[in-house]
Amino acid sequence: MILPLIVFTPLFMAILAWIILPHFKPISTHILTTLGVGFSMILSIILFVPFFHFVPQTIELFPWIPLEGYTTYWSLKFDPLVGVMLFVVTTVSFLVHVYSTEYMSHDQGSSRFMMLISLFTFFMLFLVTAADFLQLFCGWEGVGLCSYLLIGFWFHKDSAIEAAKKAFIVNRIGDLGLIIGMAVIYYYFGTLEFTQIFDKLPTMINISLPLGFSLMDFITLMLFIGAMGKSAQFGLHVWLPDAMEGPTPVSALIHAATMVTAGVFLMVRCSPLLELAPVTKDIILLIGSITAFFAATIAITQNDIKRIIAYSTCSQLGYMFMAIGSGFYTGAMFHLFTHAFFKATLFLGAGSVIHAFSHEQNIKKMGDAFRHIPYTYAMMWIGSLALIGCPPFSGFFSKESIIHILSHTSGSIGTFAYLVSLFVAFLTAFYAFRLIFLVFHGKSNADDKVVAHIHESPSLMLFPVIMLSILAIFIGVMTYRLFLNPDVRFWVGSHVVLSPGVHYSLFDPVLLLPILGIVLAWLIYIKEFPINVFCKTHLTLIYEFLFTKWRIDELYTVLIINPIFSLANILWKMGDEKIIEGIGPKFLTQTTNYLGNKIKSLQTGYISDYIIVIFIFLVLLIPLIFFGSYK
Amino acid sequence: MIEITHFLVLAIILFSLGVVGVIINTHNLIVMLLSIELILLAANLLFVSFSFFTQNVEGQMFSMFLLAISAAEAAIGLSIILAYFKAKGTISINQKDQMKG
Repeated sequence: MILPLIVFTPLFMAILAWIILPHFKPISTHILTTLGVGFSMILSIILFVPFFHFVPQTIELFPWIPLEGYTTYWSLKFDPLVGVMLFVVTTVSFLVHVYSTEYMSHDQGSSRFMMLISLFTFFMLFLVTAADFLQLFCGWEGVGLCSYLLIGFWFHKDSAIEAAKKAFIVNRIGDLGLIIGMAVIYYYFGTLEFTQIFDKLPTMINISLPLGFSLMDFITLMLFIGAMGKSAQFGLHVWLPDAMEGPTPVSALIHAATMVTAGVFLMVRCSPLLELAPVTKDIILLIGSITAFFAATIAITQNDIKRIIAYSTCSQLGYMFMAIGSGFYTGAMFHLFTHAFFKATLFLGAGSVIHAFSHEQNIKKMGDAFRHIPYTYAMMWIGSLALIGCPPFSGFFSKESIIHILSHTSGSIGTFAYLVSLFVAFLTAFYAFRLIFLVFHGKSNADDKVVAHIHESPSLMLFPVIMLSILAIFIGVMTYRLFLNPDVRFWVGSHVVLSPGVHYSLFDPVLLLPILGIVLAWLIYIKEFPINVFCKTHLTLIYEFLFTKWRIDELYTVLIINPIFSLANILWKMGDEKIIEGIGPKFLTQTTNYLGNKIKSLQTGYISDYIIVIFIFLVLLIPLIFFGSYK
Repeated sequence: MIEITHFLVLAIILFSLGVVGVIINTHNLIVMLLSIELILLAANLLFVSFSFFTQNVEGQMFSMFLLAISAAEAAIGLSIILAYFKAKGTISINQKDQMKG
């Protein structure tokens, strides 16, 4: 009974908030939704913490689509994988709710905002507790919808609307892949339920499709395309940086901690399928490493504080997919788990910074703020240290394990991914500390007015960030055995494919790379060695390339958007206006008009003309009287 | 010797004159009214002459009714013309937009 309560309380509260919204003060909806998600969080912790003896189960609520031979149910599935996701989603969501009550309190639509993130939480929980692909897809679309609504929350800003539309459309492209994957699965397996699919796997290994695809490769590739859209992998990532137009709590909850990791969740959920698809795994490894690399390189040149963290998210998602591509599913899940907390810390911290600097987002216009906002400063340090993988922090355990596994991955793509993961570890440290040094140290570049107004956030905003940063520090060391040690038998009953345990060492030379990154950032931005100026002036081409985000948006404009626009133009001008309208409505109306105009000339308006007509017809009628049937 | 044919020809001529008067008259409503009277009189003449030649009095009774009707019609017509004149300041019917559909 506890599981339906976890999932449906946020929905119930969102609906309740929607109903009472016009009648009560905003504070009531804030309290209502926050309490609802808080309730879910407590229940999730109750489920998650004494986890080792929990029996995986599926609760079937009621049938949804009764097909011949196969009926889909609305159902709630519970297993270790779901437990992890429930814990992450409800915890981060609750803290973001608390944060938002203060952060959004001056906004007119704060009630709507709370209602939407509560609804989002429901859809996310619905997604992770799905027992079959169909319900997963419902949750998948639901979170997409909430993401759209929340990115475009400030709908009076054109840029926000554009970003919301972009996110929605790009996600549709990914969803097409997911739908195709689901259709092929249903065609061959006759079912969409995860457990049944995994049971039928041994009979399906050797089926091959036309064009030399093996069935498993094709299915998983399509599912991966879906995951790429949601998780902003290279090619379909373009929406994520733009999504930062939304309010900061949204970025923390949806575009860092939960929704964007749905793709990773899907891949881990399908790990038994992926294990049979070596080609797809290579593709995932390649795409993941490209994503990690390109996002990190862009992040070092950006100036918008939220965009830097967004590209960082993109890059860390790349790490997760690299782990999946090398078959290290538990590691991907672990990185998802730790990343959710430290990235939410960073985002909410960035929100505090933006709040302190009077809604300024450009880090070049900040600086020397650490004395004024010490708590935020500390939180950002904790978040950044966890992000770069500094040993006692949570990021260390997850990222180190992924890099460790990648170093053992064979094949040229494996080697490439390993090198990329090392280089990105260095870049990550560089951009994370570039951000900290530019925002908190150096000399202040802000206006005097803004500087005078710098102030620490209220305690209602600090509390969630502090909680998250505590999680960001300790959650890694607390749970890494659980996630990564096969002897603990944590994953029993979840179908997740396990890999051998990882041993950590504090003297790994890999740890030098982040330190190198920090030192470089320190040299450039504190000691003011003009290395960055040198790069800008002498490596202009590369710098411009990175600063314009690899010109992906421009490339898409030229390659996809413009051809579609010109095609649409042709279809509009030729197909619709000339052919369809020309033959249909336009032709009919014009003919009617023409004939009407001709007949109209009979209607002269002279009485005498009418009388002539009357007499002519009278004369013509006379023979009828004599010869017609009238007689 | 005057026969019924002469009366018929006279009635047709009167009738045609009335019709032509209605059709070609584009200036004066009173002339139009007169032409209509002429048509009615042509019909009246036919009633009377057929009544005479068939030795039947019903036709003459009808002609009395017709005269009464045409008198009433003339009165109504004239009053309409008067009202029309008051409103428009003219009794010309040669105005294109008056009855244009």
